[in-house]
Amino acid sequence: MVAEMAQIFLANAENIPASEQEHADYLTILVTRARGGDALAFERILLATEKRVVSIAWRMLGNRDDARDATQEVYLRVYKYLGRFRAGEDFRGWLYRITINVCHDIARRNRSSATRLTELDVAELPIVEGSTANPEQAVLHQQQLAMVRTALQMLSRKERAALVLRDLEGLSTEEVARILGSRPVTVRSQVSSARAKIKNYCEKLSGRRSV
Amino acid sequence: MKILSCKRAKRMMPLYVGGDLYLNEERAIAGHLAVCETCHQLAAEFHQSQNFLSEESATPSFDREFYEEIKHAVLAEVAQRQSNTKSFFGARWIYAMTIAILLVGFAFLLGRWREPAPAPALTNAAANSEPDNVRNRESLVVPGALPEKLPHPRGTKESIRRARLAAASPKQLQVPGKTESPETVSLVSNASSRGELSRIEIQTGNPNIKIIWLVQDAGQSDTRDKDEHRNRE
Repeated sequence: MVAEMAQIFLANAENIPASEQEHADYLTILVTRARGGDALAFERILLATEKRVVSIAWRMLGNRDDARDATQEVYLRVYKYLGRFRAGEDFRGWLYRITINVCHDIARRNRSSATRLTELDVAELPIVEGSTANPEQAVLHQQQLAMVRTALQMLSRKERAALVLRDLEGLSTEEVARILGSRPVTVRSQVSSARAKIKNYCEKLSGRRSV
Repeated sequence: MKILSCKRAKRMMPLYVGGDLYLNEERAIAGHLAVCETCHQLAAEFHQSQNFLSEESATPSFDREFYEEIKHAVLAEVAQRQSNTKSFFGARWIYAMTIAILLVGFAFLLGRWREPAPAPALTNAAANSEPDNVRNRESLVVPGALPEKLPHPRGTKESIRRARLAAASPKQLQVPGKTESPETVSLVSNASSRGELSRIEIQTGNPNIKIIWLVQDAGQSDTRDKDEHRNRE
């Protein structure tokens, strides 16, 4: 049954299974073929997972260009180390681990030249047209979002990775611990610390502006 | 149900808003929030912060060209790496050949270095001073067999006398390395061609035993010299 579905999906790259279990089985078959040198299977792996990888990279790095570079590097590493992937292991967890590591490498490389939003930058953000009748409310809302984005970039790389995977990607604490190579207790501690820092940072900026 | 303190509730609040507490802990927090306005306000602020985080970090809707650019870049790089691995004369192959040649050369030099020294030349200083005709007459004589009559010397009395002296102290050809029981061959000298004795000395493996043949032509009286107590070195 799964093999038949895989044949249908391989024939049409757009037809990616929606359910989690079917998606996992689909990836397992593709990985097995890609390890055997099937270039088409590798391309299908890329198409099936690129949106998720781009999402994580964008949330970790904060800008489009870095997210694009990170995604390319992720799939090149997947191609290079696909032979080391053990059969039966969770491919998505392995893929996310590579994504996090690549984002860390790029962030470290760009540390000296990273552009971060400062308090002045927050005030200069353009006003986004929306359904809000009150322009001041819209500006305030945009500024709050920008503050959150800045606060996210201010976190340590481990806290940011734990928060992105847990709160933004919706993975469980156990899955995050497996991806990051740590224990669930550690992940809970990192997530708790990250949430508190973001809340305090936004509160601090809001308090200064109100004064 | 145990009543939580505000201090403990504030410490657990970040996990509570994300649903990361155990069931009993979550119930305890909920019970505290129902009675504590300060902690209730704190929980609301945490929820708002989480909502902002989710809203700001929502997956951006990148256009199709963005994903196509990524796909083409990755597949092009993969194709290039595949062509590099198929190249017969790739860098890895050259490095492997170089290392193999170096190892073979090293092994060859090591073998040459370890070869045993060539055997020393046979010690026969007296033979070097002998005339060529006498040296040519040296031969291994089988014990017990009568030697052939050797060719006549030049015929002068002086040469005969020298030959006799040489016979008296036969030269020994010792095989190097065999010190326990050296096999020695004595020179066979022929005094003259006019009926003189032909003396053949054979040294056996026992240094105390030496066989001496004296052969003379017809018409001459037989004489035999038996010397069995000569020490040979």
